[in-house]
Amino acid sequence: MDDSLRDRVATAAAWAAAVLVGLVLTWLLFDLARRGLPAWSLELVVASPRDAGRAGGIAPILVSTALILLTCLAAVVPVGLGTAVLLSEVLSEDRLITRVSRRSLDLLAGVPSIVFGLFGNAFFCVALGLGFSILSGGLTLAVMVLPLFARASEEALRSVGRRDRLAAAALGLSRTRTLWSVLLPRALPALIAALVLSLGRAAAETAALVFTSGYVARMPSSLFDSGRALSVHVLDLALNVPGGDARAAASALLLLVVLLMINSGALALGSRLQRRLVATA
Amino acid sequence: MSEIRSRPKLVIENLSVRYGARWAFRDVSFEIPDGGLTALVGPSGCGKSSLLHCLDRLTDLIPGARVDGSIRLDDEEVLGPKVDVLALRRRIGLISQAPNPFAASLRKNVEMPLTEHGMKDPQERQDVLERVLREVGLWDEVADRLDVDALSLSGGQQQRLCIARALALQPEVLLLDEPCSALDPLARGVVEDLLTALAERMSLVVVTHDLAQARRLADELAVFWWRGGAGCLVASGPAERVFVDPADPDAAAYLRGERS
Amino acid sequence: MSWPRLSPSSPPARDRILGLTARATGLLGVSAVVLVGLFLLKETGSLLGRVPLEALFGSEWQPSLGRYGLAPILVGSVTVTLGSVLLATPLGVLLAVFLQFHAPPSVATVLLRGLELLAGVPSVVFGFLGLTSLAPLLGQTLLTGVLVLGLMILPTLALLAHSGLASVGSGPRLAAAALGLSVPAIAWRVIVPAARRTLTTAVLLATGRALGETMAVLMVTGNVIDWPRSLTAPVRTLTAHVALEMSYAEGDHRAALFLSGLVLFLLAGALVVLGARLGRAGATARG
Repeated sequence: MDDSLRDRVATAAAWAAAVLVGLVLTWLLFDLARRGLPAWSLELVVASPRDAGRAGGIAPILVSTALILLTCLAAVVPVGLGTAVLLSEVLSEDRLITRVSRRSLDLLAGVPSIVFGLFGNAFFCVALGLGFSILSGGLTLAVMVLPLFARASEEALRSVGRRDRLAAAALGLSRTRTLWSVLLPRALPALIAALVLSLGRAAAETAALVFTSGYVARMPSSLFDSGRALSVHVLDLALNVPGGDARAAASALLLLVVLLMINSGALALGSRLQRRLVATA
Repeated sequence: MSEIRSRPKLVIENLSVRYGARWAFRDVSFEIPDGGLTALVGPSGCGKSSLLHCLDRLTDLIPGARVDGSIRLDDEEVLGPKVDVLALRRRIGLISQAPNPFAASLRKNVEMPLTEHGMKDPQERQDVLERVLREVGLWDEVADRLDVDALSLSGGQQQRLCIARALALQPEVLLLDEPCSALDPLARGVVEDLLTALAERMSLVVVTHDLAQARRLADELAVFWWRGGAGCLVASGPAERVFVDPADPDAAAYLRGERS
Repeated sequence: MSWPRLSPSSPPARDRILGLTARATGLLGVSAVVLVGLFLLKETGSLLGRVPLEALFGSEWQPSLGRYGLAPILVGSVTVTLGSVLLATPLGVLLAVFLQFHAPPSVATVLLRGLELLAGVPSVVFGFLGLTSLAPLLGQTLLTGVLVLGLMILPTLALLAHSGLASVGSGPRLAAAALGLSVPAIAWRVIVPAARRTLTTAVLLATGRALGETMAVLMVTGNVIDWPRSLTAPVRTLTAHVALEMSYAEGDHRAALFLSGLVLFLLAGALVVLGARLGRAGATARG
């Protein structure tokens, strides 16, 4: 009797938790859509903000966001892939430097984003003299997502089995050729997933950008201009602009949609690329 | 069966391999003639696959592997630190037990290694592709779909593609690690005929657990056993002689199919 | 037999280039870690040298008077973090058990997709929703912060716990079922204990995320510098502290904010080291 009662309580608790969490989280999304959708219009994406963002659009903010993310990608993809290749293909597993590097990256992956904001401000803005700029913000994000991207890419390369490595070696293929023609095509889906994860993390980031790319909501004319990212815009409207809630919700909803698009778009791209790599000699 | 020429292709002397503290095999010496098929037989785990990996310097890829002794290919040492390993692996091809085509098209599987080894002319590569696919009897089956993913082929076709891929590099020695064990009987027959034909013009070294197959194919036989915590060689020589009189009681019992 | 010629051998010059490139970029990548630590120390250096440590970790924060006590803020950070983890952990494990053992397949799929979606929602969006929906009811308090942060880390925690339970494999589950154990008994007496280590790692990861969160907390906790005396009192965390004052801080004040960053760096680092220890211990215990 006792046991069956306990079983029923456990089952009920699991269901209750699921229903509760499901309801709360659905309501969150629904609430955001309810507030944000009415403010969606063509003007939102083509016009500049007016009246501190209460009216007008967010075109310059979208441009700045895209530029910050592109800067981040341009920096993190080569450095991250290089680090991954170094750790999985060049250095041997049992060397101290390999283990120390891996641990350091894991450590950096756990560091709060606001700390990267501080670092970016001191290093890129002040020490390198880049000031509050899209470049500073993008590079700060690159440092922030580097450990995530490098370690995930390393795992992707490492997961290509011994079978393929032996086959390549038995044919006398050089390391470069093995990497390029055998390992990369195999690891591609996992590499794309690593990239999407990193890009998503970067696009969602706010704290690391406030003191690096800044608040300026004008259309940037170069990478050395300050530019306001979409997430910073949401923060600013919600905290500093009385009556900015509707526009904040609209921007937050847009941010969410952009993140979803990054996810699904990259996955489609990944499968296309892999098909191409399989077919061509 | 092919005629066996006098000068050995490979001379193996006092060869030992260990992974960390574990010996794969110890103190193995024998010769592999130029041309013909040498079969390596013996129970699982006594170092036959490790020996093949050693001949192709694939042990370089295994962390913690230590190789001692000497292997000479046409009187050139294989194990030295200055050896051009990539060139060596072109001269000695290896076919694994499980077919291992790359996740790429049939064409790319054969042509990419050729490009890598300096064959820049696409027409030449195309010629070689057709020639080796014909040689392994795959051409008629796949001529119209050279650009499909090699992994979509059947197991037997994949294994023959791997052999074709190795043949394209014109190896002097081809090492085969139980090439038929993952194949159905029909595909096995096709591969065995292919091996017999290849043994006419290069040295084949075949690891097999199938004694009947060894009897059918082998010119030379080497029997491995497990003694003193390591694999070792207990009998070797011309196949007819070793099958009749292996001179070692364990080898004799094994070749008669008795459990020891 | 005429066979097209292969070149004798390609001395792999490209391999050397690959090795060098990988080394150069890898060095750049790994040096990022050193650089971040170095700059935090450098910016804090002037303050650490002159001001006694007990003053830095005292209870009074008055930059204009040269008082940089971080203690209440540190305690605030720890309180909000622990609160949110205490809220999210039982819910997350319950959700994972629900997904593994109770949910009909279609419900499980929908819930998993939903959780994946929510795990990617930017923290500023959680903060905004907390500010506009919860704060009007509860005020900007410790409780609001705990609720918002707890909800924010819940999807990730539940997903990690779910894969942790899945990694136990079907063996123990079948064995337990063959002994006639009920589904809840299998879940709570066999599978959850077997996954204890991965569950702990998941909680540590979630703790790190909660500790490091800035915007969602800043938007809903009121940010008054005081010891967290009750659930309904406003509170300020280290992360929010940096974000709020960085824009106008100079000299020692700025250095004190970098010290907050350094403390966060060390706390997060300790969590990572702890997680790695557990992972390694688990690997040896199993191996």
